[in-house]
Amino acid sequence: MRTESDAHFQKPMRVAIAGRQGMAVSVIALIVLSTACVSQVEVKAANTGIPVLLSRIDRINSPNPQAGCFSGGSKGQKAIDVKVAHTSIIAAPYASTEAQDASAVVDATILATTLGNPETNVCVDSLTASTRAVYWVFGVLDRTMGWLKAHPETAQKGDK
Amino acid sequence: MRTTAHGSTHRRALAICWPIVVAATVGSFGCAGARARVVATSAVFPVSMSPAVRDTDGHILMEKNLVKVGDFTLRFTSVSMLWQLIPLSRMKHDISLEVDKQVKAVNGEAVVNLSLHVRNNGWNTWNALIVGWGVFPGYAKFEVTGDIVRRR
Repeated sequence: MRTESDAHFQKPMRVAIAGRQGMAVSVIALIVLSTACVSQVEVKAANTGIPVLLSRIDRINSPNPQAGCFSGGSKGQKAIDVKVAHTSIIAAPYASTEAQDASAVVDATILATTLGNPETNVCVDSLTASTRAVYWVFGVLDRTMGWLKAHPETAQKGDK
Repeated sequence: MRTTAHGSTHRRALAICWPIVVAATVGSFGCAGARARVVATSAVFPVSMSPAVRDTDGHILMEKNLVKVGDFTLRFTSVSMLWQLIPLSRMKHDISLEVDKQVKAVNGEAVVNLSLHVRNNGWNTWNALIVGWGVFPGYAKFEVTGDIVRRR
């Protein structure tokens, strides 16, 4: 026979048990998430025909820096300083496993500043890259969305 | 009776609070990791992130004008703690000496297609999630790669 005191004890106990189970499920879910997704970022500029220089030397067999990049411009070259990595990572901060190709940024910058002058170099002051654990979470979301887009029938079943 | 009611209130408060604690933990590991800045200011050879590099007379040389004679590879690890606020390794990595050494070793003339690959690791999440919420050191592995080339 259920007494008033039994009812009083059972309710908070159920809440506490539900809390412990929920915590366990959450921890397991986070462990799965953390091991399933590793954040990787690759910064490159492989699809442009313009030299994208990290060095001050801009020519083969050139003993001294003579590029327009750092000397203020010479021989028709225009100095452009682009923080390629910074720009590209901001453009796609959570495409955690995809390459960050800066070529589009480079080409757009050159087009905007020199109207496509072929004598232009792009000078990269420094190449900065960082990785943060939060990318993993965004990476999981990104992958999930990508997978659902690739398998629309699954998403439709889920909606039903 | 009063004590029991008081205890149940505590348990209920704990049950309500744990999602907040989990959310705070997840939020705190957003900054666990590391960063690095790569420069090559004193390299003797031209270093380009694109396939293009200039010849001595200023003409642009593309892949068809160049022959690959080797791979440039440099790996290093960057370490920081307290959500990247305290760097424990050099933030700035000058790859000039390594470029000069590797290019000379294969008798090359330039490095093209340079790319920087940064990779997170499981420790950062464990550090953030279980061990210390990002207080302890976290690290990231960096790999700089490129093609060592010379003119045809």
